[in-house]
Amino acid sequence: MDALLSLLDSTIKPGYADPLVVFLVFLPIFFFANWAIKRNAPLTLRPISGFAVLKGMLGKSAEAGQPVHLSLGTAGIGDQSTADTMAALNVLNYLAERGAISGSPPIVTCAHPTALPVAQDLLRRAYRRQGYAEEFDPARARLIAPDPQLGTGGQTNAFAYAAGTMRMLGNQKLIANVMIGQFGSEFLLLGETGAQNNITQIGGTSETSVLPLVHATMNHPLIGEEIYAGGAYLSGKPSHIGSLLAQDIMRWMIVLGLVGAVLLRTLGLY
Amino acid sequence: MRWIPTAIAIAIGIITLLTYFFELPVLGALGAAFKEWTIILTAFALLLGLGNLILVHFLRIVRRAESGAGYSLIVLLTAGIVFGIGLAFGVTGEPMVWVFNNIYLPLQGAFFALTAFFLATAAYRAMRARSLETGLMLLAALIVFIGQTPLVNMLGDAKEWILNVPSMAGVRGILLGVALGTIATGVRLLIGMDRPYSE
Repeated sequence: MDALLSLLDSTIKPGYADPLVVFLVFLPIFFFANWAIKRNAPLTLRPISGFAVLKGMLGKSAEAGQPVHLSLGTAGIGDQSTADTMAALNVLNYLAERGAISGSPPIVTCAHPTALPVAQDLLRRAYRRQGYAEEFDPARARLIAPDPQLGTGGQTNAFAYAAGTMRMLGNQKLIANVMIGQFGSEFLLLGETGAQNNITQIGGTSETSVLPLVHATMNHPLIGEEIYAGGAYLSGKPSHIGSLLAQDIMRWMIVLGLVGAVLLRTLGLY
Repeated sequence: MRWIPTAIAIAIGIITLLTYFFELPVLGALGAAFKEWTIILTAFALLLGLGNLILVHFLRIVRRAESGAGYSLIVLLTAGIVFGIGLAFGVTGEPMVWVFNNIYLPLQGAFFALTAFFLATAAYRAMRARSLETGLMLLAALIVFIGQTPLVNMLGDAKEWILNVPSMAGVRGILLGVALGTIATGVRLLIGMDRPYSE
């Protein structure tokens, strides 16, 4: 046992032991939550207005012949904000499926080249599943402009992406503007353009410095982790609902740990 | 044969995760190789992106279904010229640097300057006191605003309290939730529950 601990101590990167412990604690909770969901554990999801409104918007989109615009943000697949892009892709999965049925697919824009093929593939597969493979339009997913600092490690900026997308928000008749993913200050330019054009807007990001801009411009803001709940709320996927349950269990454990630590410290026992 | 991409993705995901936490020579070499592959794949994705850009704007010119066909022509011509300059002189060559310094950067600066005006209109909309929450937000914003004005020299302590206590507590709560959401998304990808790359 001592030899194993010594080996672990020498191989774990300095400062990475704590996140490893959190990850290892989360894993069994995650599997337990998914097991419980598969056995129909009673669970009520609190309402999130953004996702509820989005569901209603799709019917209007088909009736009016006006598409929904979905921005996947400025991050891609394989970088540090992959989770945010995945959150946006979960929403796209739902929009693509419904769009293929109604004939009103979303317009998807992105600023990172690695997000584009995945978005196109999701749209293509949705059409194929519905039996309308020939109706898939590859121009529905668009790379507007990549970040010139891409891959250089320099400070990112997506103003070129914002410029291209703002024009579309201003000129094209859209039923809703959905912005989920990683964003910087360009969120304000896009969100404000949509607001000035009276488009129903739903959006969110995990970046805390951008959240005031989300609140100021979106009709239905998604705050922080709410962006990751799209798969559970829109598609009702059991694995996503299980994830939410696992996150809540873990959150309560952390809260209880914090309160317990404060009490112990206050009583002078730690 | 559908399990093959899933198995590859899971294996590479687990190895990458291990390289994040552990320092072992074998893992280090594998991790470095995967990073190199990612860069190569991103470069190919960039080429696909260029193809997509050409397709979208070409179709806009041909179909005439959307307005702005003239702008699309300018985009195509500009993309062609810059691509040609890059091929002929390299991305670090003097002509390319000139294009960036004299065309791209001033345009980017102009766009950044626009955010001030957009911020004013967005703040006006957000700060209309329609409910108790927006009323409280307006009050907090006013206190922070006055507290940061050096000429007035008032409410400095109140500003510090707002930023360090309720604001910081909210941010930490959000960050905690984001971290848990990120871990859950990662685990779903890692064990193949989410497969954006296959059916």
